[in-house]
Amino acid sequence: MEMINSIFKSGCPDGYLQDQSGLTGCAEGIAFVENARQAADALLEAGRRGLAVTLQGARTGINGGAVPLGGLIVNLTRMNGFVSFEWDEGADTGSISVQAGVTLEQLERALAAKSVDLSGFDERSRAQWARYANSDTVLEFVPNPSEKTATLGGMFACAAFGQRLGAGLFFEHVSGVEAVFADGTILNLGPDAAGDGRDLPTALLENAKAHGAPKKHPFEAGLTTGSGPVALLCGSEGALAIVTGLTLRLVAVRGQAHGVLIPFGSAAQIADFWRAFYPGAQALADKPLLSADCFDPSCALLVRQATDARQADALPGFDADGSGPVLLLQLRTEREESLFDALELALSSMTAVGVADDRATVASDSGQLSSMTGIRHRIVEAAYFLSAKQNCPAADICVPEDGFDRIFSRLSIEMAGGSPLGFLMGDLLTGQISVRLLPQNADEEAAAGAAYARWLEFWAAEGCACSGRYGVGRLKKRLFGALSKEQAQLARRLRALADPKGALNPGVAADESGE
Amino acid sequence: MNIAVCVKIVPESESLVFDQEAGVVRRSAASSCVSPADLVAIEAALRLKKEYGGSVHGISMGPESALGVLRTAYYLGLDHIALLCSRAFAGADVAATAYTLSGYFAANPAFDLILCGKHSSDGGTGQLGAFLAERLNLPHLGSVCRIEGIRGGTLTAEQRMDGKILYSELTLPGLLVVETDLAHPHTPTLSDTLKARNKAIEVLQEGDIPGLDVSRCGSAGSFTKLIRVFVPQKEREVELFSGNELDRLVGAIVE
Repeated sequence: MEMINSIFKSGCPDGYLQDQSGLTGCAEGIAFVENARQAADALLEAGRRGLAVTLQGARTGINGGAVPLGGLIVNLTRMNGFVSFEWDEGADTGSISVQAGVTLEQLERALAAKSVDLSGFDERSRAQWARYANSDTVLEFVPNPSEKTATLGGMFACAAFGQRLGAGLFFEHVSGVEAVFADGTILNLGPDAAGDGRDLPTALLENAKAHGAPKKHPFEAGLTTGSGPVALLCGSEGALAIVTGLTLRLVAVRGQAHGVLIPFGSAAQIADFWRAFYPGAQALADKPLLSADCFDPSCALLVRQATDARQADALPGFDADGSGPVLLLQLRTEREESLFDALELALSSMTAVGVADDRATVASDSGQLSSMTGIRHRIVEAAYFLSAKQNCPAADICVPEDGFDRIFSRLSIEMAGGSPLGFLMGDLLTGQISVRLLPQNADEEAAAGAAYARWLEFWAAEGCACSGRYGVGRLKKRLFGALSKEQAQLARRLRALADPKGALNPGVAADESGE
Repeated sequence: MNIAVCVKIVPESESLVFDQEAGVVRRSAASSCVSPADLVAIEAALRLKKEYGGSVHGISMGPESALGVLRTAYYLGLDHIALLCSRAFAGADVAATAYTLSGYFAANPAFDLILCGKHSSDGGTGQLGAFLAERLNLPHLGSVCRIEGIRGGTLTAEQRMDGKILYSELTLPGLLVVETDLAHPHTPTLSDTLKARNKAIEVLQEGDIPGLDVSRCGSAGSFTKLIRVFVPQKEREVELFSGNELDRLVGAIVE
């Protein structure tokens, strides 16, 4: 308790009251915990003092999930140790257990350079790591939102790239979680995929009743519902428990990555291209397509505004006048022939919709590839720079299969005015669209609010759902409630089970307060 | 105008694996790329071809595993790529590399201009161009930051030297070592990339280069030896001071 007390006396540095949403909160203290036990102690101490607890990783979230609304901040960035490692040489797969504060950058660097602080490993893990380090295999963790400085715990808790990835679902890449619950219980939870037809809250309630003395925590292993506790905690934004450790599934990196950037005349033209390209791409032997992101011209305008006028062409692929959207395809191919097959297919699909073949570019060199694939990151950074102090409507939505071009086109037309600034981008592979408005003054704030209200009605009529991409946080809470009513109710039921006093992360989606 | 560009395949810096025990960089474990400075030389060559016509050839020396990455240089628009690939060439320092490459150029004398990048991102000696020019008895300009043009067999360029710009002429055939900011490598178009589909890399061994003395190639012909590669250990100590410890903080700074 000494740790917590001393931190309370020292107050809270301002930087920890914000994240990349631009929102600023308030807090009475901050605890930099170093292990699950300390996190549990911090929770219990906060509970005794009647304080709410806000969890923080690297504060890279753009929806305000880590902005405190009073009480204690529990910051996990000092939980940055590597705990254990397994490598199945035959299957070319592995797993690594990390503390929640390890960043994606640290993980990628460790796996690529095969250099890691071994002090947290036991003998078995050290031996496995030594074998891996002496091999030519390079392992990777597949979920990869563009923000590398995010902590893995934060990525998992917020499902930072949304649950739907090009390669399966986010939680399928996580095989275990260490979680600290509001009552101080520390549990190591694994996935449990065997379904028995019960919905999870029912299973949890029955679990809670079934155990006699000593009573077990309702989340403890033994759940037999379809998506296990790992899936449950993924994207729960710290409203159920503090995720203090993760065991991540790793796969061998195969082949070479490439990016293809294609400028189009309109969103409808992208949709026509996609209808021609996607079925053929899925039929290719290597299944090389990793992602397909389209960026509205508003993205280029935003980056120009946020950076320097001299960097007018800062976003690759956009015309100087930024008149049309751009599609970025990311490919990974084991054989060069597969790359050429995919490019031939892209070329014929472009020709079919009337796009000139000299307008598309291909990056295979790492520098050019990183410039191409960094587009999303730069847009989000620009938005952070311009988010000012106004109320910035934010939305990430999952769209029906046949609705992508209709919804994207309408939003694109509305964004074309350029005021208020904002960005619109979409992920064709998983059917998600992200849109932000960044009003710079009161008039623009009113216009943004009106636009957002219109869009909410439109999205509801189109059958869209709220996407968890970039988390829900505080900025998307209204969207979550409006488009995903059932999920919102489910989240609240689960929270009532896991955290009956509602002490963890007040104000996030699963919390009824702070609407 | 036939231009040759010396191209080195290097480990990507982010995936460099140091074998601390053996004291070497484990190249087999790292992903590879064309050395960034050589991409600038390729870009400069392609611009000269666009203006004056002719062809651009890439010449590289390395293991067979370099072939895949080397092929990506075709996507940029090179007309031909040759890889000098033999165990006899392995472990070469800059002098042995220059000797081996000079053997190739002596056997293929049709080049009007040879371009080298400023330095590779792994070895980084920055001396290959000068060594090669000397071996081939060619005039050369180093630190070229701008190529003005070619007229009547003479190339004019600007060199950056100690904060000054030298305006120089080079009689062709000759060799240039280009600065990393001379040109920004372009991203190849989709159609240019597809043109690489039917292009093959010419792989040459010592027997394919007439007159090459193998004892002067590779580690056998090297004057310098890499003894050990290691990551310097940095030691830092962080001491945190809270807001009410100003006196102690001042004392620590003074100390």
